[in-house]
Amino acid sequence: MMSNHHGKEFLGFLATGPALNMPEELWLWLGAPKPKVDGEGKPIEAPYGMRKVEAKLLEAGFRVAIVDPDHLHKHLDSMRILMLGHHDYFAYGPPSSEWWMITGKEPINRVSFRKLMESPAVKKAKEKGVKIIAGGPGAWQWLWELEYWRKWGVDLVVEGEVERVIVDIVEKALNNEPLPDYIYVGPQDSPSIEEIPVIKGASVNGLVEIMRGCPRGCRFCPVTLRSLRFIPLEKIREEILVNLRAGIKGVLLHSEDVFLYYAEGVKPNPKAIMKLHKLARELVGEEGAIGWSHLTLSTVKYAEEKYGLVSKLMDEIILTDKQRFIGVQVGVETGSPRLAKLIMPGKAAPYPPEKWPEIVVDAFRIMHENNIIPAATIILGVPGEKPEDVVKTAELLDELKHYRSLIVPMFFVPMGAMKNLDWFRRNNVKAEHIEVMLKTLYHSTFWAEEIMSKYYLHGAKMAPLRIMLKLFIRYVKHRVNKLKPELEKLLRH
Amino acid sequence: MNTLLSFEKKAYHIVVMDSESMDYGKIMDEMVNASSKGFRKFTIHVISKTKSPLYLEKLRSLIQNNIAYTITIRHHNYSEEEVKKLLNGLKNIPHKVFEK
Repeated sequence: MMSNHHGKEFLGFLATGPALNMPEELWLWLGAPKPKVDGEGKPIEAPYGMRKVEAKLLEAGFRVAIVDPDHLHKHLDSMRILMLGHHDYFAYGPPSSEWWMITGKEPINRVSFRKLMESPAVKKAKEKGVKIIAGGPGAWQWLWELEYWRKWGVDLVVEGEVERVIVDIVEKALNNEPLPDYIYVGPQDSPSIEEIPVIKGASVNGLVEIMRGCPRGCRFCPVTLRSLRFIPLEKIREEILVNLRAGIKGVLLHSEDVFLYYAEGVKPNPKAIMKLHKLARELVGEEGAIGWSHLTLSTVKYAEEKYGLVSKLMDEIILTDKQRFIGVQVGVETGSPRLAKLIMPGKAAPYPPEKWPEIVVDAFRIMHENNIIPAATIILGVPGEKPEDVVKTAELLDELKHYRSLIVPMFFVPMGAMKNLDWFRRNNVKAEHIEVMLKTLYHSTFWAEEIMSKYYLHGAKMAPLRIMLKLFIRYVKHRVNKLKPELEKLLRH
Repeated sequence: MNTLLSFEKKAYHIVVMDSESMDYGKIMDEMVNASSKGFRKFTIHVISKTKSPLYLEKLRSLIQNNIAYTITIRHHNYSEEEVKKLLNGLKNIPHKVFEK
């Protein structure tokens, strides 16, 4: 599954669920339409992680190309290694696992991946002796799918940052030397800034990495295990230009927290942030859009209250006649200071974790006033969670209802420093969890219509997509209203 | 051992003769022990009758419990010849063999 999600990466969330009340093809068109490709099936925009691997191998002198899965058959004669990258191969990640648990249906990302691996092109490649190497953020999931691993003849699974090891692996594979079965690249083998190559082809929606790693140390997050590195402006400039040359109209700045670019600890560096955004605007022009991948709520509050940075950035650089908002993913995770202290003691910093709910509300207000639309996550079922923690999350949701945003609950998936702990399962769901899920559903469906009409999918070009999504939201509301009496009964007991 | 990846040449190697009674917790203890001598990379050679990759089921919790080290896992067939070849290749490389 390769897509630019209509240029709206948050629609990609649909591709993590099963097709609900509509044909699979239509669901895929909504969430993950086919990418534009050239005559050889090479996509104009490709996932950023794949672009990094491609760049590393090109620089080492290999013949390498990213190919849309639908066009693999065109390369059977020349293919020696088939490298797979995926965020969520088997739908074990959030929110796929949650969709799966709630609906009982296999999410479409898992279905699509299985179709690919059982396609004539992949089978033929394997028969011809092509080596299969799987990597990417979802690599860990193969450890739970050993039967598929065996059946499809995957030769090696690599987990972690690969820039320092991939050239060696590919050389060995091409020489038909025995490969290990599994590699976990630890933090000491993370690439330095010099070892991270500049992408050679365009990335999906112009995504450009501005830093790697995160200093906050949230226990459920794998990114925080990586060392912190800032990508210099010169490299960022080069990558934006690669994307612009390919016809991408904007830039999506990627970081676990964009406001921590060249920060000292967890306090934003206003000069560095302004410089980064000035560069982005200068390159994409007034017509292009600047996007952010993630922000931390404590940084939003601190940046605005200490420096007035959020409003300054929005007013002076980001908002233009063409760009009327910016969307971003943020993590609320919990409304309980006790749980925040336990699982993410650094997320509130420089404020104390006891103030977490207050930080969330203040940050949401600041974002609402500045046309920043957050898509926020909440984690349910974290080991150590008590019913009173979930009640606090429900109370926090009440305080957030006036702020334009989408809020999505996710069930705990063991990752990061908590990857050895147990999954949250369907029979662990309690009345408090249902209450939180319902509150998020009402919140998100209320705001989604306004966000789609006025901000995210406005204009005639987006009308078919907007209409389909509105119909889908109404269908979800209708289903939930039908189930409401039963759910309320459950909540009372 | 010419077939090792470059970073494996600097690793501490652990050979495991896989059996039902093998305690994989001992491997983690050995890794912690070796890390006190400065090792941060480990290659685990599993000699097993269980075919690749199915033998990895037993190593899953070891892999999941690790966040600090670079770990490479290799499978070898269960034969005297293969074992001899492997141990011979590891002669001048720091390693430890676990038989049960």
